[in-house]
Amino acid sequence: MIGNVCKRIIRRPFLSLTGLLLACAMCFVLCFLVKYRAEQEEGLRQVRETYQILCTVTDARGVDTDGLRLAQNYVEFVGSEESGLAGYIKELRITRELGIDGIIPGNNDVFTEDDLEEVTSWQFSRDSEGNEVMEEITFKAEFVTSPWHMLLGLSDPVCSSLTDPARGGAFTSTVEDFFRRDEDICLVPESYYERLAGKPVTFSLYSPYSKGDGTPREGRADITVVGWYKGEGTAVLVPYACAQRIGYKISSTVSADSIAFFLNDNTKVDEMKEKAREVFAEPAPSSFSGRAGLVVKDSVYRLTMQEMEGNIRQVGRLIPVSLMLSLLTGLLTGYLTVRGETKTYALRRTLGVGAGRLILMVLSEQLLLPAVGALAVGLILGQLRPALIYFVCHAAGCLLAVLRPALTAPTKLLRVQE
Amino acid sequence: MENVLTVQNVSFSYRNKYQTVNAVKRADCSFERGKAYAIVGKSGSGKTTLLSLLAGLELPGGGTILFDGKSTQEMDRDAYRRDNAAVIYQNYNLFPLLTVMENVLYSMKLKGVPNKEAKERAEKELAAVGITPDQFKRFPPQLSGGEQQRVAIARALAAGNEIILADEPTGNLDEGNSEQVVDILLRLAHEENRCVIIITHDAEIAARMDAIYTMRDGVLEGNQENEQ
Repeated sequence: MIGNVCKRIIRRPFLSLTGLLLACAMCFVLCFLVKYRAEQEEGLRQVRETYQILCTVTDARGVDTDGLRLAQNYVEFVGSEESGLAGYIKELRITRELGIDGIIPGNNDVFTEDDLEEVTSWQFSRDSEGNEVMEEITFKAEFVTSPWHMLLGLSDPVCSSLTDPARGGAFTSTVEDFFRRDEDICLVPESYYERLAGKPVTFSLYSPYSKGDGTPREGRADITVVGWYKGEGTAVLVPYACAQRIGYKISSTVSADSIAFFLNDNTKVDEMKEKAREVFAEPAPSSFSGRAGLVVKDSVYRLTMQEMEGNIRQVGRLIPVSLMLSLLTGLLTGYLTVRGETKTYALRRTLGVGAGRLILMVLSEQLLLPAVGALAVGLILGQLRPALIYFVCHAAGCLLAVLRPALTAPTKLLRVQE
Repeated sequence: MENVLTVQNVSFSYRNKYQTVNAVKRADCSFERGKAYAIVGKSGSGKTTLLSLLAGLELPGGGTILFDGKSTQEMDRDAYRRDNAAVIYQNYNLFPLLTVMENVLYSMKLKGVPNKEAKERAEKELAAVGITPDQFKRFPPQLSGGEQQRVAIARALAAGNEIILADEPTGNLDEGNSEQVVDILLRLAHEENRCVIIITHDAEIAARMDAIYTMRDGVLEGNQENEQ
């Protein structure tokens, strides 16, 4: 039987080739659509899982992101699991700034009296004639002037450009989790490290934000130098916990100067925004509110998601159409072939071929090449399942076309032919 | 001689576009092995319908057709046609995409005859009907009408069926070819002990048969034995 099937296919090259090409084309369309949808769905999943939605605390106008003087309640809200945002957050980044007034020479030999520089000043007095004169005086300061002006507490190395490896900031040679420690330790510029390594340095600190009456808030802290960062910076880097502890002694109202974080689950962005509105204001350019705002940079994410979801919806609508076309193609090619072969089928019946066997024979003839085409397309596109679905649709169409001549009495078919 | 086919009170009607046609009315007849029969009658008298009933292509509306004493209604009629009753048509009805040899082999392949044996038998039967070996690989449209009809007969012969039903087998043939085909059919009946039933309009051909049945408006009349 297979031999006869092959002979009949080979001896009708035009019809066979047309059927094969049509099957390949239809199968390609279906496989391509399914593949495209799968790719879009995979892309959607990847975007949903890997896109980093950055949320930054700003002033009420949504402009400033540093030096915000954020009160303790913001930090608590962001860090609270039960009533705050902690459940939505990953990679929380907080900074806390304190000014360095100077370094107090202590009982260590880091900065001794020898390091004290003479300070020159001017003193006004009157001479014997009563005229006012300006007299230069020189004295040694009671503490050395610091080469650094800021103590910067970080919760994460990416909080500061000083620690950006791309800009040459190998931030520490000693500890990797430096910024997550709750110890009084610091990193200093590379050039000082050799001299200060492992030694505590006593800093005279002040909060950059003065009290209501204009007097600065001041304090002292002993911090051990444990590492270095590249370059000649003017900041001393400490873990955020350290900066907050020291800073809290100086100013009990300010707790952080910048806060930023990423969402741990992008699908909950709206839920997080809703929750954030309990504490943070909606940033507005004309706002003069004293409340901090929260800017959620999710527009690119939303646009990407919308575009991909739109693509998936469109393809989802096209796939059933493609299946219907496959069915119709099968029906049409089946019908066209059968129409020209009615007499042959009737003859086969008169020779003793049963209706079931005739259907099997005709389907073999009609489906062999489409099967090969669908398999080839499925293998090339790596989409065997849709290729199989296409083939089933095509076969169903052929079966519908073949049923009538197979089940009709052969004498009727022969009569029609004559 | 024994009856191979017995028609008992068989009726058949079908509905065309305008009316119900009683094509065969209470037909009674019998056919024996080793004899050739002619069924004659005007066009539309029901000859072809009777042949279809004998071939198991249609089922009688009433009455019974017995093959070797068994009702064809209760048989697997596909197997009956494959193994016992071969049909030859006026229009040759060969498979146009198969060669002469493949056409003859087809019916034997259906019966499961081994390839080598089938080929030998096909060559023998094709030679018996006057088809030369150089024509074996030709396709039916490349043959003349007489040659095509002889190939159709060879196919029926090769299948080894004991009943040969021929519907106007010489209708499209010239005199010479008609003569040849009738000779072959008579040889089948008389030398190979088969039952040959042909439908014909040609009185001369009918006269050469062993017996003649006449159909008139669906009624089968008499069995006129020819003296030969």
